[in-house]
Amino acid sequence: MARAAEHGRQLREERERRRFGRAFAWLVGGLVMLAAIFTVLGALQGPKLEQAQVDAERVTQQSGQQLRLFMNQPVDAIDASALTVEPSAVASVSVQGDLVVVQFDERLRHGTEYTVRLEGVGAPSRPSTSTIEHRFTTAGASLLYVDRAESGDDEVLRAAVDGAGRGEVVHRAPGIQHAVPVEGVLVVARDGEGGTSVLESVDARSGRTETLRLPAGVRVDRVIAPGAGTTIALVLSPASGATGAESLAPRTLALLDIGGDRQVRPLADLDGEPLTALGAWFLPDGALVVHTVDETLVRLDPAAPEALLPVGAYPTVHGVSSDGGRVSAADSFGGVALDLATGEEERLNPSLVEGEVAFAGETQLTASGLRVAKVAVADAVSGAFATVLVADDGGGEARVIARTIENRGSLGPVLLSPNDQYVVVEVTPDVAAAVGDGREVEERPTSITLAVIDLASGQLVRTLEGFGAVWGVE
Amino acid sequence: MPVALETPQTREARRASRRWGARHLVAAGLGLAGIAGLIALRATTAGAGPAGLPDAAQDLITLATSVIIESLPFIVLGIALSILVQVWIPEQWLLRILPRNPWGRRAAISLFGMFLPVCECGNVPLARGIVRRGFTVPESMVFLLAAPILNPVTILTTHAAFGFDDGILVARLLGGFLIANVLGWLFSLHPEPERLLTGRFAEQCRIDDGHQHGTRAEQTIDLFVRESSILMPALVIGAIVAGAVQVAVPRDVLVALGSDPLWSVLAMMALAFIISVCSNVDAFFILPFASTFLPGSIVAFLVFGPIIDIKMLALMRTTYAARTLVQVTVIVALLSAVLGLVVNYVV
Repeated sequence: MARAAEHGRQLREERERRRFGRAFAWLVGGLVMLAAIFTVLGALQGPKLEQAQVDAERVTQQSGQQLRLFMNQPVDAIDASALTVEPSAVASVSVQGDLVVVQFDERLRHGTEYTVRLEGVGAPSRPSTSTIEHRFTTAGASLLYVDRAESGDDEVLRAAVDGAGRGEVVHRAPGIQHAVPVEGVLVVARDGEGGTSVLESVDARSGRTETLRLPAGVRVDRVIAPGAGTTIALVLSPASGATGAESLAPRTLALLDIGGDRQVRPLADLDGEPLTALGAWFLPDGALVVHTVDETLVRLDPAAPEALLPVGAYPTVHGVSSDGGRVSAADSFGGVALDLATGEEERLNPSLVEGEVAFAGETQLTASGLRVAKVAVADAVSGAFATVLVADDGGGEARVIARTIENRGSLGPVLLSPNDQYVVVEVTPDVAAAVGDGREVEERPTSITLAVIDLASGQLVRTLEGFGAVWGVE
Repeated sequence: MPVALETPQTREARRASRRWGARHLVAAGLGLAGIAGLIALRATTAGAGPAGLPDAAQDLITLATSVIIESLPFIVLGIALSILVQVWIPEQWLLRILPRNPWGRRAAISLFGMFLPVCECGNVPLARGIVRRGFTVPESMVFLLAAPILNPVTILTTHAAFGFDDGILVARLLGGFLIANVLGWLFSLHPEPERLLTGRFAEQCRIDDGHQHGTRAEQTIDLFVRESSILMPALVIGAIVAGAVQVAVPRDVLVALGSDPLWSVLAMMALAFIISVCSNVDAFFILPFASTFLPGSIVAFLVFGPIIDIKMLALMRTTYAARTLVQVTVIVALLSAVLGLVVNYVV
C-alpha cells in the first residue's frame, strides 16, 4: 500500500516535472521564434526618422535656415540628388552621425506646406535603405502698421496677410509717428511737445510702456529695426518748435540698444562730424548701410561704428535687396544695382510697360534679381503720366502689379516681404480728393491705404487702412 | 549587578562582523579614492597640452569622469533611500495587503521595488528575507528580478538620462515587469520549489540576520558603508570600462555594430553582462552609446544588465541552484533580446 502511494507520488512529481520542462521548452522556443521574426523584419528596415526640428517663422525670413532630422541611428552620407523639396526650394543636405541637416538656401514661402523627401538613406555597413519624408507648414505672413485716428488714440495693429478685418490692436497711444518691432518689444515714436518726438518701448506680452530717453528737443525722422538683435538706428533732427534743444545736426544718425544701456549714441563720420543720413538699412549680417546727406553710401558695424567703409556715391538710394546682397540706387543716368560684395554696378534700365516707355522711380530688388519698381508711364489716350507698380525681370516687358483706379491716385513707399513673396505699397486712392491728417511729423492723407500684393501672381491679397508697414510673421 | 558573559559563539560573530565591516570600509575607501583620483587626474592633465597624457588617455579620463560626475548624486540618493526603507520603515508595512490570486500577487510583488529603492546588489539579501517570511521561491524571484528596474531611483536616473526619447524608459519598465512575471509564472510550475535553492541558503540568512542588529543609527552607518563599498568601486570600474570601450574600439566599428538591429542588441547585452554596472547608474553609463547604438539595444542593456551580469550571478548563486540560474539566464536573455528587437523595429 505504502509502495503504491510512493509510486503514485513519484508519478505525480514526474508528471509535474515534465510539465515544467515542457513549459520551459515552449517558452524558449516561442521566444527564439519571436527573436528570429523581428531580426528579419529589422534587417529589412532602413534608418527611421525620430524627430524633426525647423523654425517655421525664421525659415520664411532668413536664408540658410535648417530642417534638422534626427534619425534613430547614424546614417551614411546622402547625395544631393537624393533630396527633393516640394514646392521647389534650393536646399542642400549634410549628415552628422544620426543628424541629417537640410539647409534651405532661400527663404521659403509663407503659409505653405513643404514636403522634404530623402531617397535611399542607408546606415553604415547595412544594405537596407529607406525613404525619409517630412512635412511642415511655414508661418503665415503678417504686417504691423499704424492707423491714425481723426480724434483720440492712434493704433498699431498686426494683421495676417490671409486674414480679414483690421487685425489685432497691439498698442494704442496718441500721435503715433513710427512703430517697429524689435525682439518682442514694440518701439514707438509719437508726438511730443513743440514738434518733438517721444520714444517708447512697449513690451509685447505685458503691454508695459517705458520711455526711452532722447536728446532734448529732437524729432525722430526714422526708426530702423535690425533683423536680429536689440540695437536700433534712429534718424534724429532738431524740432523746429522746440525750446531748449540740445545741439544736434539735422538728420543725425544714432544707435540705441534697447536691450542694453538704452543710451542714444549719435554717430560721427570719418571727419569726426555728426553722421547725417537720408536713409539707413540693416543687412542680414547685422551691418548698417547708410545713405548720408552728402550722398555717399557707407557701411558700418553697429558694434564698432567709428569704422566707416564708403561703398559708393548716389543722389538717391531706394533700399537693400531682401538678401542684403545688393543696393538699389539711382544717379543722373538712371537706376543702379550695386553688389555690396564685389562693388560691381548694374544699370537698371526699365522695361516697356504695356508697350510704352517707362521712367523708373523707387525700385526694390528681390534676392532673385526681380525689380519691383514704381514707374511713370504715359497714358496712351490722355497723354498724362500715371504711376504704376511693376515687376520687371529685365526681359524687356514689365508686368503691372498695381495701379490706382483711373490713375487718380498715387503710390507711396514700397516694401518687399523678407522672402520676396509679397509686396506692400502705400496707396492714396485719389490725390485730388486727399485730405492730410494734419500731423506735424509724417503727415499722411486720411485715405492712406496699404495694398498687399502677391508678387508671383500679381493678385491683391489684402488692403488695410493705414501706413508704415513692417513685415512680420503670424 | 548583572554580569554580561561572552560565549565563544557571540565572540566569533562579533569578530566576523568586524572583519565584514573592515572589508566594506576598505572597499568604500578605495571607491572614493578612485573617484577623487580620476577627477584630480582630469583636472591636472587637461591643461598640459601636448606635454601631457596622450590623446587617447585624455579622452578615457574625460569620458570616465563625466560618467562619474553625472551619476554620483543619484548613487548617493539611492543609498539614502535604501537606508531609509531598510532601517526606518517597518518591515511588515509592505507585506500587509497582497492579492491571493497568484498572478495578481506576483504582479504586486514585482512592484515592491517602488518601496525598496535599492539596486540589484541590495536586493539579494532582501529576496532571501522575503522567502524567510513565508513567500514562495518564485515570488522571491519576481521581486529579485523586478525590483532593480521598477524602483524610483532607477526610474529617476533613466528619465534623467533619456527622458521619454525612443520609448527607452517605458520599454525598460514594461520589460522589467514582464520578465519578472513570466519567470515567476514559469517557476511557479516547478514541482519542487525548494530544489531551486542552494543548500547554503539557510547559512546566508543567518549572516543576513546578524547584520540587522544594533541601534538604528548603527544600522544606518553600517548600511551606508556596505552600499558605498559595493557601488563606489563598481562606479569607478564601470566608468573606466565605458571610457575605454569608446576610446579603444574604432568609431566605425561601434557605428557598424550599433546600427545593426541584431548585433547591436547582442553587443549591448554582452557589455551589460561583463561590466556589471548597478541599475541605479547604468542609464548614465550607457548614455554616451545612445548616439551610435539603436534604441532597442539600449533597452536590452537596461533590462538585461540589472538582472543578469557577472556580479549578480555571483550574488544569486548564494541563494539559487546553478541549474535554476542557467534557466533564468536563458529566459531573461531571450526576453531582453526580443524586447530590444521589437523596440528597434517599432521605434
